[in-house]
Amino acid sequence: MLSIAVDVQGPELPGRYVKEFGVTYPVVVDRANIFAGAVLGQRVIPLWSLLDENGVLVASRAAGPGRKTFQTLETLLARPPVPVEKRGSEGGKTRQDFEDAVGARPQDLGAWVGLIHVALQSDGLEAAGAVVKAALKALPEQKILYMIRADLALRRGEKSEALEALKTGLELDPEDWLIHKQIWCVEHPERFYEGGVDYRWQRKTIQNERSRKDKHSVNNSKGNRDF
Amino acid sequence: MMKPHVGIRVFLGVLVLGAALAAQDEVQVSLTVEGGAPVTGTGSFDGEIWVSTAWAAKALGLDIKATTEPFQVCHGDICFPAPARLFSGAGRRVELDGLIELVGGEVVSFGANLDAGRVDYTVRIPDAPVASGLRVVKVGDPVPDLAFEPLKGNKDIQLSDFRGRKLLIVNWASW
Repeated sequence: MLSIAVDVQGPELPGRYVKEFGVTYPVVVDRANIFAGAVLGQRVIPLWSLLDENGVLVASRAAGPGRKTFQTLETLLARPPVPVEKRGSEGGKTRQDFEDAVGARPQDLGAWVGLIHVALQSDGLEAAGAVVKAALKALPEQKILYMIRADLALRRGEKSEALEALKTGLELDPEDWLIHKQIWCVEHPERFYEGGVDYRWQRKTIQNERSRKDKHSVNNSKGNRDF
Repeated sequence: MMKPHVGIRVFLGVLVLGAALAAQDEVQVSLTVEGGAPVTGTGSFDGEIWVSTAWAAKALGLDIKATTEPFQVCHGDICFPAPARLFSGAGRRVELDGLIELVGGEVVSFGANLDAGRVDYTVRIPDAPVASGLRVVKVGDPVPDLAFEPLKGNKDIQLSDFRGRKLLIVNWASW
């Protein structure tokens, strides 16, 4: 089992829960939501996915723990193992490999994400930021790139820049619940990390946001009528 | 070119006029998913067609969760968050065109019988939604070998580290 925390602020915050519950399986962070958002096209969590022995997707559902989830997983896990195919590893690619890939296919988000990853590991935040800037020139409507930009900004302690990036990502996909909640979380950490998650505040915030939106549409329609 | 589902609204604009004269807003809906058999049900019309959520889910082969927010509509193994405006009556009714659009479907043909207060849809629902991005992986596809930052230790964990074993991945967040 692999547990992936979608926390743009890094491993510290999910780490508290991992410590509290004495989790023994591996837990990782996917700061920019690459797996759920880009690979699976999901915009909500919790989410579970099952891969077979060859890394092939068997099933994926946006669902939390519950009777139905456990029954489905028991059925799927009871299937006999599939033979492992020999396949070259996709790992071990160099910065040059990714640079060649984005040169040949500038619309290939996967190649850009790979290049950002190696740039961050080998040359640090500034170099990764420059790659994100170049990636956004090629793919200006990719919300994942804005999540990566937010991640890099938070690593540098630039909260307002991170919020701006997240809000741009949300504008590109207003239904993305993950980005929406990340914004809340960065803006109002006290509602999430001081005595647990404040769900009452979340419900109230949703209502307020909706009424602001409705008011905005009414104002707009009035404006149109007056015009 | 006008999209069919826009066209049907025009037709139904006429229909609702007729329906108003007959003091009713009920419509019989016949829905065929391309390649399948037609499914019929009763809907209502207020400028959009509203049908029972359970009926729409069955007719379109979707799994719709509309009792608590965030609402979502699952098509096969991929789920879409659904805007609340798509539902009414505590999630029991759903706006049909919006639902079809949400899962990337399209109306390929339609007909409206004004006298009978009946509409016929044939819709095409894609096998899997297409999204821009790395790639939306479908069931049966290999997942790219991503590397993740671990909570403990310094070495990234790659999906290929688990090859040879079934791997259950759970996405969650501290928030």
